[in-house]
Amino acid sequence: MSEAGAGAKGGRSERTRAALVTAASGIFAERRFLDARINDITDAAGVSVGTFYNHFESKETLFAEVAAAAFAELRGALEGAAGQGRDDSWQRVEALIGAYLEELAGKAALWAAVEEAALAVPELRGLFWEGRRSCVEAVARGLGGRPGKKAPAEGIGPEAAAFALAAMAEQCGAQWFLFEPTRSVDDGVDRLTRIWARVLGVARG
Amino acid sequence: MAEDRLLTRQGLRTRGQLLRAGRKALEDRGYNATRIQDITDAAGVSVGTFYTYFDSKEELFRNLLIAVEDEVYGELADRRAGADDPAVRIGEANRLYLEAFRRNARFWAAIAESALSDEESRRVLTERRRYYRSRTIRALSRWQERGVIGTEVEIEAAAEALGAMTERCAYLWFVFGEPIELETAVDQVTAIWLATLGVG
Repeated sequence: MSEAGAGAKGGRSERTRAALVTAASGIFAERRFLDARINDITDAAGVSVGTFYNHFESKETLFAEVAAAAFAELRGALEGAAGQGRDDSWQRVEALIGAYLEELAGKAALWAAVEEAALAVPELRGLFWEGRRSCVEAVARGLGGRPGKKAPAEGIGPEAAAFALAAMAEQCGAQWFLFEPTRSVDDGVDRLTRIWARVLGVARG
Repeated sequence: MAEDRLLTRQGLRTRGQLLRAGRKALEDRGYNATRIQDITDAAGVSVGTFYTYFDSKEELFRNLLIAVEDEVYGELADRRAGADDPAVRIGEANRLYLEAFRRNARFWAAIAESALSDEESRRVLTERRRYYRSRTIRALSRWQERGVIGTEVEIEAAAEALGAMTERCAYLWFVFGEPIELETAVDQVTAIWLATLGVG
């Protein structure tokens, strides 16, 4: 095979792989991990089951890639928010919450699938932890949390505070956007920004 | 409905056996994977007998869910003598909640799974969350009226966010099993409560 031919094949192969990941995000969000079939995914991507196995070992492997991508997008959004305003500014806190809640609301069904898979399939749990940990670290960095820096609130260090504040955002996000969709993202951001600001001792600028 | 039926002593015993076997099966297999036959096999009764007492796996699950929820959230109503200081009361309430959550962690995994896939279970959880939140709001409002909590604190928003934070932390620590000492868990959750409320 010529170099050019190999290159073209490589490009097509990457496109097929990307199509499978995109299709899988939709199918997993709709049917969750346990009920999603490889068949559903290949149908949605317009490829054969044989092609699927050229790219992924199993449904688990593909799911792991979809979940890792969701966490990477959340982390990216949080890192983007961490670039706004000063460390201890209202603007920064608001940007971080906004990034968190927008990602949670925008992919509520997919996050539910990730959470359910982590609960039901022990091998996928490590992936959940790693993904979440990287996001909590992004929150801690965004809040200016470095080891040894002064605690945001009495009796709690920056990393532990970021863990708890992320937990608050996750659970509120689930309640507001998934379990009993009652609140708009903007309303949620306003409410949580005021709470985080109190915890962090940040005054409205 | 099975509940309306007056059960004999033998009937109550069988129903209790089914509930215990059901809890164990749900803890071992998870919400979706548990089948009625897993439960009846463990209880040593026939599938037909199951339907004498419950309409479905979901109904048995809801009975267990309410009992566990009462245990976990019910702790919050516990009043300790001489502890009227909000910081002490909040720390105590968080300790009792986290202890009860840890005790029931394996069943809580089934609860979490059910909330993600079952509309009815989600409705029950939402309703009970709302009920317990209203109790938190009452307690916090009393402190606010007495001037212990500042007037600038939005009690309802705080109760909602703090309840959510506590539930999620308990879940991450005890269901997913990120190892943490109970004391550390209590201190961290309580620190967020006190900072939000401006007390302590």
